[in-house]
Amino acid sequence: MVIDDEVLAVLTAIVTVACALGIALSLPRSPEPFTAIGLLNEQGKIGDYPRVLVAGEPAKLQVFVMNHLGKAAMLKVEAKIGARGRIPSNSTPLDAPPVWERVVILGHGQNATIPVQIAVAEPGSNVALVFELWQYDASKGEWVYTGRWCHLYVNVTRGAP
Amino acid sequence: MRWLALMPLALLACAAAQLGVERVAEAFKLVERLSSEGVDVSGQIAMLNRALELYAENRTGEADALVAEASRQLESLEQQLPRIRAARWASLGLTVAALAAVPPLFYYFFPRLYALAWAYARRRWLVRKRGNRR
Repeated sequence: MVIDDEVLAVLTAIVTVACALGIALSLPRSPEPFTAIGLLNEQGKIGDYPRVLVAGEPAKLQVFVMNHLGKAAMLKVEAKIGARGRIPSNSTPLDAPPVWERVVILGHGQNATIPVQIAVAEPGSNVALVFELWQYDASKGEWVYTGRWCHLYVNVTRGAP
Repeated sequence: MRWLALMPLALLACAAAQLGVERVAEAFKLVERLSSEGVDVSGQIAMLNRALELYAENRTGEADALVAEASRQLESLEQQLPRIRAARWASLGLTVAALAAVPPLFYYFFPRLYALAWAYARRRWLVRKRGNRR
């Protein structure tokens, strides 16, 4: 025989392991489902956020949302105005009316970066710009808070008269 | 005064967007169902996202047409769902069977193919008898 039995056994073992790995990867499996929301600056990057706003003038930001639920999802981002100590939790959204909202449908693994402009009418310190992520529950026909949110504290100064 | 004049327009746009979201939500039910079955609905998702933008711009007629077209395509995909599901399972079965068959085939054929290649590479070799040996 041109090839040794031991060499053939080792090569066959390598091929067997590679094929077993291939089978394991090709079998359908349910991924760990999650959604994500993130706040980006005007250039669409993390950091360098505006810290001081002028009342009535819009803050330019971008919101990043991602769907990893294993199926398509209809997501809604709601922007609200809060304050230090008055922000959402993992289970409860902020009890304030949305000042801006945007609905987007994302397939599994897809993400979207949404430009947003929010103006705060009244001056104040430690004003929280809150962005909550909501998901449409097709079986109930209603929006459900995902428990995901992000916020940015800003100081709002009075504009020139 | 200008604020007062713009207020009804803003309210109208807001109401149109709200109505649009409800219409898109109806179509989305099928999107969710089909995507959870592994059907590719990326085209319909893009159409519905465009419709949401149009509703926000108060271009209700164009948005309605897009939602209707997406719904029609989704209903067509739903009718094909059993066939798509069967094709997906058949494809998966074939993939697994093909991968499972590789190790025994390799064990059987590789030494033979290797020997053939070995002989082919030496096809011009001459076997010469050494003179002094007996």
